[in-house]
Amino acid sequence: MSKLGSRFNGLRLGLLAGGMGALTGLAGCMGTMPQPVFPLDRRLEELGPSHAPSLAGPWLALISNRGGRDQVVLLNVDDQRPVPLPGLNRPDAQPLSVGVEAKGERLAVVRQLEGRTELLLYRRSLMGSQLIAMNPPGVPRRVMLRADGRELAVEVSRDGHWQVDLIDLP
Amino acid sequence: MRGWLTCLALLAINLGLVGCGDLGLHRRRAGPAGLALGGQDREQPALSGQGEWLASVVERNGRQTLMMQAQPSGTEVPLPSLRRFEPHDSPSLSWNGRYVALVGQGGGRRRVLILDRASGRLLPLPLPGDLQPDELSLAPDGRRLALAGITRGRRLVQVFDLANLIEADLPRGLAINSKANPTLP
Repeated sequence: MSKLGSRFNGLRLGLLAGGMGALTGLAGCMGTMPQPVFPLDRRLEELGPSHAPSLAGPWLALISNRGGRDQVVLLNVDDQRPVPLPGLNRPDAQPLSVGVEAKGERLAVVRQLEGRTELLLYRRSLMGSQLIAMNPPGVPRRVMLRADGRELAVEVSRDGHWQVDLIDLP
Repeated sequence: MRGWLTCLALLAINLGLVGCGDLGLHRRRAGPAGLALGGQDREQPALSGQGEWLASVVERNGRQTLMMQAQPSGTEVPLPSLRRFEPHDSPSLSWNGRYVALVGQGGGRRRVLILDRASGRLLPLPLPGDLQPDELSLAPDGRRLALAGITRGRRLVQVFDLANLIEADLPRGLAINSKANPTLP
């Protein structure tokens, strides 16, 4: 009886090892699945519909829809806390694109306000924004702030084409 | 007194700077301006962390293609391994331009790809569930990836940990301490 039992156990172990081997092989074919950063993913779900992410250092900037209104949100990925951005989100403005630098001090935002589209640079320590004009004139759509904060790359509609402007920042 | 000074400073920022559009900032059109791209569209710019590389999306042979250029020369670096995943969208670069992350097309669906230019290895990222990616942002050190897309019928941003998949691409001159927890210079 014990001989039969040990044979049965051996068979079970064999099947288990075979199954695990097959799974490992399958995982190898599919590549390694990246893991969501927990519990940040729960916080992001709570934010509601969102888009236009920008990651740099511990910072995640994005545009989130709260109560039917889009607004810029800045989160610290390490503690999942939203950071206040006083003066940036106006009820009459619609943000289209956002970029954050690795130090988290400055954010670049493209937004629509009173029928025009504008690019601005927001400084958290000053709680104020600075408009950056398109020169030659054009309509900005997307903005990317370099991780070291020294340059903006802006997608601009000009003369019927999309172009990229690079703007040095002091 | 200090309160008044702070108020005055904030007022100056809000009145002076907001009212003044062009602050004499140095601007340039992304090179090469003219010949190669004259009259063409160029979209979705992404700079590496210290500006040595610029990725953008241009149309070539009727398809959206990622163009990678050294800056400020504009010299283009071909990335042939990405061609079979056109059309490309939403490029993002790491600190030194070692990693190029983007949304591409493969196997009849939108996919997230990470190209390691140091090794030439192309890593298609398997995504959980029914996530259909349309925008992404790679953390400059390559340790995390933010994806925007439709998942379970909702448009959400999700952040994924890549620390076990690719090694870090850190800025030049950065001291790495024993906890591998670098801070900006």
